Amino acid sequence: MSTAAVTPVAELVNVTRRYGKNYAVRDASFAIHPGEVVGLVGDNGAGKSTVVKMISGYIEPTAGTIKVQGEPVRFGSPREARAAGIETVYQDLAIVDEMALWRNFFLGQELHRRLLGIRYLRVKEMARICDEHLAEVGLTSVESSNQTAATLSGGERQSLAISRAIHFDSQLLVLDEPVAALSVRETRRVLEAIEAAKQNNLGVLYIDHNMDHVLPAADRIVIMHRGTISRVVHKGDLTVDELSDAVAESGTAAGDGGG
Amino acid sequence: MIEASAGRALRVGRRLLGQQELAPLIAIVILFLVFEFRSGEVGFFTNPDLMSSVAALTSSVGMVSLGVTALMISGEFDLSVSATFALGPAVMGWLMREWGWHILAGLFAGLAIVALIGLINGLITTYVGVPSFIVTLGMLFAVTSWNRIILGGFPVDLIEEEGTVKKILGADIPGTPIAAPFAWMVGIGIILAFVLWRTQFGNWTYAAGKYGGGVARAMGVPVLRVKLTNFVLAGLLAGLAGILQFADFGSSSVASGIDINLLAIVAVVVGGTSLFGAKGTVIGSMLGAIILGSLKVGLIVIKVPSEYYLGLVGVLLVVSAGLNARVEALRRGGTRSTLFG
Repeated sequence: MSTAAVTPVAELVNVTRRYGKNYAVRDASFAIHPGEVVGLVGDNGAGKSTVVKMISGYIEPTAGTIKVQGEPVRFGSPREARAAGIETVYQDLAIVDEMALWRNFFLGQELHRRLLGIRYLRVKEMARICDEHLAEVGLTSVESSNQTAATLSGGERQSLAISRAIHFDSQLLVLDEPVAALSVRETRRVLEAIEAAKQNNLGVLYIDHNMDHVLPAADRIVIMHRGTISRVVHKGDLTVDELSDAVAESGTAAGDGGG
Repeated sequence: MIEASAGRALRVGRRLLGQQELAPLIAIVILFLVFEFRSGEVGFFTNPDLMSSVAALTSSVGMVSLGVTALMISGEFDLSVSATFALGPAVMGWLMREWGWHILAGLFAGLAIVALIGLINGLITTYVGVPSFIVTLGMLFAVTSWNRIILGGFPVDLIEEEGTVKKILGADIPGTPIAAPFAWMVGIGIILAFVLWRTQFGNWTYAAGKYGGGVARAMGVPVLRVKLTNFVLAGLLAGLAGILQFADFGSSSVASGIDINLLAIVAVVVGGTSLFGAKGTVIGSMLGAIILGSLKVGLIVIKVPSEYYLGLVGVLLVVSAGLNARVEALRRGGTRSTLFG
């Protein structure tokens, strides 16, 4: 493993999340390295979204440790996770349609100048920076960052959210089913944006229940089943067909065992 | 140089009005022209007395609608503003009458109480999780009851007849027939428009209105605090509106501000603000309030029986909400930006 020597951008060490007697996630460990796309795959109820919620600060682990850049962290809120460099893009919660692109791009981290305790927006600067970054992730159809986000297609929204993560020097980009509802062409657009994030040395955690979505993007795939990690596969180790079989078998085997 | 600054002024002007405020502005122009030409010698916008009445009617609804707009953009309602409107002057007048408080002390006490009402609305909504529609409906009844207890069914008079404070709050603007509350509304409206347009808090207010604040929370915006601030603002401005009318009229009662919660919502919707949050402007709401005020006075002038007023308000509300929905659907197809877009 060539990435072993590098400090992971984020790491789960024996992380467990329990609700009463039920384990949503049990003893999960894996790491995401800089410039690496890790796919997190599993059926509904496998524990994927609980992992996302813990990494992005919505809930805390019951046991175990989350590390960012090798340091153990505890997030009390999404704001704290974001401050630590973790940018999460939710399928439906990434963008406010009614607001301008630059307002979306800088939401929560607006450039401002303080005067008498009031934070005035630095509008021109934000619009300029937003324009630059939209071009970087291939959003060339956009005329101006002043238009509302309602004018963007599904793939363009994801790209906008990803370009935002690149700009704010995030360490880890968490994508929650980014291409679930997209056409082939739109999907390619999002993959390009993910590639741009990789080139900027971000670690990417890519969550999807559909193996076919994750496969083209991921360097390594973590397969979850009923709250535990059932298998970790490296893309290069297996062919695409073998990999799909591996996921199917893993799910079936564990399913039979647990059923 | 002059051309450049003229171009800049034009751009700024266009941004200030945007598309959202254009419809109510056109409606005002049409109303003014129709009333002017149908009223014969009395006139309408050429008649200072009538404009004075329009301004007085506009300023109360308009001031209340400012806070309601910001709150609605952030995704919440306040139905209690009509009771808060009466509570501000009730507390102020009662303290001055019963305890001999100075007008300024009464003013600030009144404002503090109405801000507290907004805060309680906000705390119950955001922390307990009761929908604001229900919380503020409950508060409407509670505060109305409280007003009756304080005032005991009688109007309260503003005793300081010729004081400076009273003049600043409620006297006519020097050289005009327009009472001060209208200037207060315009002034505070412009400040609030700027705050929503050009400050971080404004950006957060819009974002908080989308998906119950889901997007904003994911982006690290302190959504509860933003909503709470807007609840306080709605209470504060409703109470201030009541106090300004108190200073203008010289007396206030339990019945003051009745229906103003609903009229403010009409002004807000006519002004183009979305009931679903994340979209709207306070300038639009002020224009909406001017439409309501003009309609009331204008109908009397052109001798339409006053019984028709509320019916027309209802039609106006539904028609403008329908127009907004259609325009929004058209806009989604294109790439043109809105004022805040």
